[in-house]
Amino acid sequence: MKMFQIYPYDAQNDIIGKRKITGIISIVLMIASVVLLATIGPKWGIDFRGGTELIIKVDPSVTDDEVREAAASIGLTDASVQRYGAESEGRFMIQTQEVSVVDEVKVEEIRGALDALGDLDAAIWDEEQPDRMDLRFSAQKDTAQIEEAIVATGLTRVSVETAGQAEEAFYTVRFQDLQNIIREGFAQAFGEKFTEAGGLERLETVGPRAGEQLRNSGLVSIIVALLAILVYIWFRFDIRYSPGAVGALAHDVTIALGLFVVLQIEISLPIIAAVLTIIGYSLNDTIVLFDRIREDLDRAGTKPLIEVVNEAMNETLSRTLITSLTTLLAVTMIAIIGTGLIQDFAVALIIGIVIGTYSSIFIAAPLMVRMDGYLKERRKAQVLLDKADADQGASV
Amino acid sequence: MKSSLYRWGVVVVAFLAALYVLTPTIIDWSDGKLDGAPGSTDGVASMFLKTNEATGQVTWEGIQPLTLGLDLQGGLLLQYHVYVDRAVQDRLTRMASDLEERLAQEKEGIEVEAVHPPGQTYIDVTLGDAADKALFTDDFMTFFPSLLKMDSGSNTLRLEMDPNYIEETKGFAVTQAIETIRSRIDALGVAEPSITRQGMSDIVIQLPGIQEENIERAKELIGQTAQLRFQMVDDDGTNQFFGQFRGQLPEGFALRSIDGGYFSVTHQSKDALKEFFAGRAPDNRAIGYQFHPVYIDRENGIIDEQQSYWKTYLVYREAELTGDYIQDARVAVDQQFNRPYVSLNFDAKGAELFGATTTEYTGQRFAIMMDDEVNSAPVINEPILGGRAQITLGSMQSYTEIQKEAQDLVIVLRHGALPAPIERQFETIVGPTLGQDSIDSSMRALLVGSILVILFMLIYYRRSGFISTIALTLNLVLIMAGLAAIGATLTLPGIAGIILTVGMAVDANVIIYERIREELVVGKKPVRVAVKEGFDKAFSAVLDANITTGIAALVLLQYGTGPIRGFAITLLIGIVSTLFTAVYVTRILFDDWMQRSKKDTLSI
Repeated sequence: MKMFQIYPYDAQNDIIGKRKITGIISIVLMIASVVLLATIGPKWGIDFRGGTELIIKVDPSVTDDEVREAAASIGLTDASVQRYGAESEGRFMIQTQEVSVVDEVKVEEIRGALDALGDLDAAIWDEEQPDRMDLRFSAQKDTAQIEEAIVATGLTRVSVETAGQAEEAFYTVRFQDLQNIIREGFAQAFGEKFTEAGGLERLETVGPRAGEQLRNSGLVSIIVALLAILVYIWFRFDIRYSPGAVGALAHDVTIALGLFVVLQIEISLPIIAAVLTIIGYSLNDTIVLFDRIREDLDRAGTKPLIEVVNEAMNETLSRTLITSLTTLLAVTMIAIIGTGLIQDFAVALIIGIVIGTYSSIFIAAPLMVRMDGYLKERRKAQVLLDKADADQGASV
Repeated sequence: MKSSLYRWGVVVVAFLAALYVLTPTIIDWSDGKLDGAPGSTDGVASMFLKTNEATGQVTWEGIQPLTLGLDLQGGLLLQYHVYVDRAVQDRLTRMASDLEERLAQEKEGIEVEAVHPPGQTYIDVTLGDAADKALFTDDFMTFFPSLLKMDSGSNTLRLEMDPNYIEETKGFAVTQAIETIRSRIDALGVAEPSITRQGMSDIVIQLPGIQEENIERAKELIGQTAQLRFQMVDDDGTNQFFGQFRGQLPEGFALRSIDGGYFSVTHQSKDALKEFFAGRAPDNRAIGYQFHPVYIDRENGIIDEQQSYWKTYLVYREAELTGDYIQDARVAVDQQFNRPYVSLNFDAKGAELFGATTTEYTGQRFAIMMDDEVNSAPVINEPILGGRAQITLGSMQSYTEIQKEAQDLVIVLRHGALPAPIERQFETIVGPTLGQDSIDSSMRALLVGSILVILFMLIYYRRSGFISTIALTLNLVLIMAGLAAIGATLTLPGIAGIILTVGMAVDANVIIYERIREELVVGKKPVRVAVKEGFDKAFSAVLDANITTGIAALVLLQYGTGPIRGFAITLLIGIVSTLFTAVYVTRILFDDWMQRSKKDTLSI
């Protein structure tokens, strides 16, 4: 019978014998990843660190530098500008840490200016309500005077009104919405080149509190998923398999995150989804292998576990290679054709597929062998202890 | 063969059901756009559509077409945080004053002070006479079932709010905020808005396809907390208060006589007035401001900006009645002046209060106020017992402007102020072109990726590869139908989920085929036995792999937010349909093939 073969079905290669070398490589990679994560740290996307991200579509004749200048003129001094998609599309992605026109530094500056007016009791600003500031003076002030002092710090579009009870010198300062300023600012900077071409296509603002919340729920979902899978494998297979499966996953997630740092991929919500997909994918591989080990063990008789595992590896290797190949084929297409978000997602998946395939063979199975050895040792030791106890008991 | 017929039946039924569910989507897409508006309403389309005879509006009946998510269609996504603690605090403050009132009813002339310290969840009651503690009987406490009596000093009493009630209040604040926002959004007329709770105290609002010019209006309507107050005008004190400024007013200010003899300080600018009166209002009084237009041409509503001015009222700080008691508000048109106004109906309690107020203060003026602006200050000619009132709006605008302002006011009034302050946390605006480009590029990626995978399967597994292609196609149809059936929206991460499912479906077939090959090559088994064992032995691996991925998807569904949930839902639907197509359908196709084939070889 004629058929293509990626890997011979009756191969007897000593795959598990390579576990020492691969183990060392993996440990080195994991340590490197942890070091990278601890020092440079992951590049959190807008979703997680808070800030504003916008995509604008302008006339294709507009250059990067012009967009950068325009962003700076609006007051987005920390803005990063990058092209989004092909040059002919005229799309730019602009990211800034700011979610409102004022931040803590600016607030300090404003406080200073207000202090100069005298009688200032308190100037309250909360980053959860960044477009307002509450002032309390010990004597009546002129709202125009307050406004002037704030405008002098470089802010425009500020309004001041009296608040509280009439006899109290309470004032509320309102700063205009950042989003209006951005929209109007770009329209002003580029004129028709902005409005005619499409203008503001996407604008995303995430408050710092929301960012923190999302980060936590992302983390929680990964941990819960890992635990749930651990329990499922324990239940479906037995305890020997659990550390291998989870160890491989931890290995994958760590190295993938490390690679994200190297490749400067931003950790956003879709990337968290990608990480979870990597977990699912790697697990898929691991389970196919474990399933085979379990099946082979049932009719292995007295054959040492390590040999059975090696056999199962040889048997499943062709499937693992083909699956990885086909999935990589599909995902690579997305990485090439797709844009923006979906492209990052695809790159994350490619990383995950490669690491996941590797880890199911070289991490999961060896760990399983180790766990088996450990359990056997413990059982042996327990038997010896019991025996010693019994002997002692007899002698007393 | 009978069993084969039965098995084929299942597949055919599943396929037909999927097609049926997808028909609205296909009709919708027939004009090239998946926008909810069908290309035509004739023929098959009429089965799924309902035309409103009166308005001519076409709506889907029964099964809905697939809708596109915000990221694909464009639109506005907002996330708000509800400050639920404030709702609890407000409740406690109100209870404290209720408590004083009720104690005064129990015992006349009682000396009592009920204080709710800000930020705390209790009320401290201080009694003038320690013996009055006896008033707090179990019977009395039934008026305040949410307060728990704590022991404290001799003439003080601490009433702690029940923790369960606190949680309930918080939950209620969010639910009510959602309802309020929903009704305000509905009034805006956005197609298929989605307003959902997120976590404990957040609200996510999605407005797909909203027009850019409506974004600002939507944000304003959602965040509005305007409250209508009915405050009495201090008729007795007015002339004395404003009169004291006679001859002392700065440049630009004037002392006028309005409303038939009452004094009022006026100025062209409201801000100037506010500044002047800051700190000057006597105890328990406040200043209300009202614009007074002077027309050059009344017919056309042209105002003389130089002559028009703002006037002031001296009102009692405390409100007799608030907008909370409003049952219904609507826009009506004044026939005489052809001007829209807002007509109000109070609920029973409100009508009673309004009746009592108007009875008590007959002959005096009362002010209808929004924040510090006096909307109108009519004299109460007679007690108004029916619970109806009118609000006229600023006269300086054009008819359409007044109409719009009246509508916005009605929206706010009808649905009340929000139960707790809300703060915007998160906002995404997606333009429609970016969405279209995303669809195009991800669809292209899906297509090219699928073709490559299919090509590989055909070359590597030949005829068996063809069988997987059929299964894969059916799989895609079923996933789409599944999404349409549960009314899910298709988002970018959702498409990614579909792509992943395709990968997993192929994997399931690869596992099975590799196993069959192995049985053939290594096991040297006859074709039919190899196929059977291949399927049987591969099944547990395929099942476990899909279940674990399903676990991950369920976790995502539980903890994930918007886009991630979309991914998880597609993945879950994909897993079910993959198990059906890649295992069940492939098996049927194989068995059928085996029965026809006389040869002892397998094209795999």
